[in-house]
Amino acid sequence: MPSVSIRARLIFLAALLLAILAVSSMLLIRELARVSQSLADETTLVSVVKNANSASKHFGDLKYWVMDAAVTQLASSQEAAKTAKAGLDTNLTAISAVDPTLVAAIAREVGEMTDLAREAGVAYSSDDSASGNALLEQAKSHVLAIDGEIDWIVDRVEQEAVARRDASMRGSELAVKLAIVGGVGALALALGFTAFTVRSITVPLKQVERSIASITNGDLDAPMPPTGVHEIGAMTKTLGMLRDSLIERGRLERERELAQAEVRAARDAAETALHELRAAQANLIQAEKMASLGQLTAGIAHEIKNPLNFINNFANLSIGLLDELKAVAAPAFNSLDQHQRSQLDEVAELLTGNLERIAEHGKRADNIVKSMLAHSRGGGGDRQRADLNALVEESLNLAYHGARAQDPNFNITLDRQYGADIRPVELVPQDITRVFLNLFGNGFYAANERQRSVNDGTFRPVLTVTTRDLGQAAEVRVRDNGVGIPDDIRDKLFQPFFTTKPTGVGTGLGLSISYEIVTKQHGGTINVASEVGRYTEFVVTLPYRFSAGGAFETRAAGRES
Amino acid sequence: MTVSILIVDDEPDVAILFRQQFRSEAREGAYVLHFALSAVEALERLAGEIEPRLIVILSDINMPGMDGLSLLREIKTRRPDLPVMMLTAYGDEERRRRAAEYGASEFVTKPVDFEFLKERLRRLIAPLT
Repeated sequence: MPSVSIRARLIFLAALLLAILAVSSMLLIRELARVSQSLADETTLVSVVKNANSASKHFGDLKYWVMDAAVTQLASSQEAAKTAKAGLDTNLTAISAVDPTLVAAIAREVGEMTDLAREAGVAYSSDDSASGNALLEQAKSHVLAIDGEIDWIVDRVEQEAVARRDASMRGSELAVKLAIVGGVGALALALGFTAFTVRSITVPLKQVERSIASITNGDLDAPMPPTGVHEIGAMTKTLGMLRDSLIERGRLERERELAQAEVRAARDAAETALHELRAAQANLIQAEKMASLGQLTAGIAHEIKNPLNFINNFANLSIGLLDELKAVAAPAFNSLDQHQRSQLDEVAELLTGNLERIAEHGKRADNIVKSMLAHSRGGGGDRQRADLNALVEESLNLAYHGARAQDPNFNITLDRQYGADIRPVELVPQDITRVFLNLFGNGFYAANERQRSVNDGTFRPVLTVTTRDLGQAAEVRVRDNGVGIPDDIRDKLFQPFFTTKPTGVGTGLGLSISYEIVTKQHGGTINVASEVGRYTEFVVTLPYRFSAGGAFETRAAGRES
Repeated sequence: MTVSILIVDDEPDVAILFRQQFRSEAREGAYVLHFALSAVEALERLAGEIEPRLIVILSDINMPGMDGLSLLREIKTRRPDLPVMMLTAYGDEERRRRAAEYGASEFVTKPVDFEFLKERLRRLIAPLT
């Protein structure tokens, strides 16, 4: 009954119960009517029986008094006979309904009998006893017939009365049984329908109740009872709408949170980008400063080169001139005494020594200037076959002295493990030198940082440089026992402008330029392994012969034209 | 035979240095050294026909006024047959390339190794004699 409304269900139930009540009542009323009818019939029958018996008695009186009157001619007898006849007639009328034909026959014969008796009386009064006797005999035969007939009626009526009573008794019993059965049936039917109707309401109501409880407890996925046109269906529909609105609200809430999170993320990203931009800007400014400093350095180096050139040349010239002087003045010297000669020799020797020292230090200064130029110039150098170990050693010394020049307290143990079997490598010396200077500088810095953070004199910074032959390529390992590189920044190492050093110390360009030089310009590889607080190791491999095409080849071709 | 060499450099000490370095050669009469302190002076000296056979050494590319490369170009325009040797502190590829393009016979970087310079000079002179 899910599609029928509860009101309709209740009305239907009430109507059904009323109908059951009416039907069962009508049944009972009908039975009662039947019983009461049979009781009425019985009463009538009892009166008929009484009248029949009375008729029998009255007829007995009548026949007696008729006979007596006929014989005696007494008026009292005649009177008595009249009274009896009146009673008999009354009785016969009362029972005529039982068998009208027979009763009419009885009445006729009674009439004939009384007529015969009266005629017999007339005969007796005229002393004709023979006729009187004959007439009386005739009358007696009527009497016998009437007696039989009345007895038959009495029997019949009595039998009927008994039968009627039995029937009425049976009818009553049946009515009682019917009443019991009907009542119980009606009750059961009513109970059944009521239970069915109540169940049809309470079951979905319970479901709705459960759904409401679930939704109240926040379980929006709880099963919902089926909707329908009835009241519970409407409730379910409303509940469903409530649930949908709750779900929608939850969804909107989540979307709002999501949107807020997105906004936050975007803001964070923007802030990070701004931060990075500022850092990049600072790095760019720094790089620009470094670049202009590099140009300045190059300019200064060139300007120093010329006077240095004079110093070296004049020193060497002077050594030659002094030798010339000694040769030219030899005869004159020989004429001098021992003391003067030894004095002159000593002065000449000191002069020569000083000039040699001037030349030597001039050469040293010239080397420094050369390195400065090589470092600031960058790119465009000639590719040539070079002794890798010598290049490494030169770079290592340059880096070491550079670090010492910057910080007089700086110190580090250099562990050189150069492979003896390395063949000349095809490379651009100033660019590869630049790579090594970067790697050594970084190693010095990291080891020094660790020493500063330990600061108890137990830590000994060590930079190990290993070279070895790999067959097709040469390998250079630069390992420091410094602070190490955290995992999360390891892949940023070779990005331009990425630096962990404070502004002014690192440009963030060293490793990116090194990467370019090693991989693009020389077709080699550069990799890093590190453990925080223990070591960092850069591994550079350089193929003996550069075979790949690319920028370098193009540049080389341009140079030759 | 005697060869004239014109050395152009804005540093006056270059003259003293070259004179001392080439003292014995000058004494032997192999070389006659001439000096100019600027490009203008060098061009004037060239117009005056220095004899005997001439080699020009441009000692510095980075001179005030007209620089060494421009002077090289100028000289080679006027006297394409004149051998010109570049002597400079700037040993980079670009300058080397341009010097070659403008017709320099030799390109020697500073600091000058005079033995090497003399060897180069001999090689330049050989086809002239």
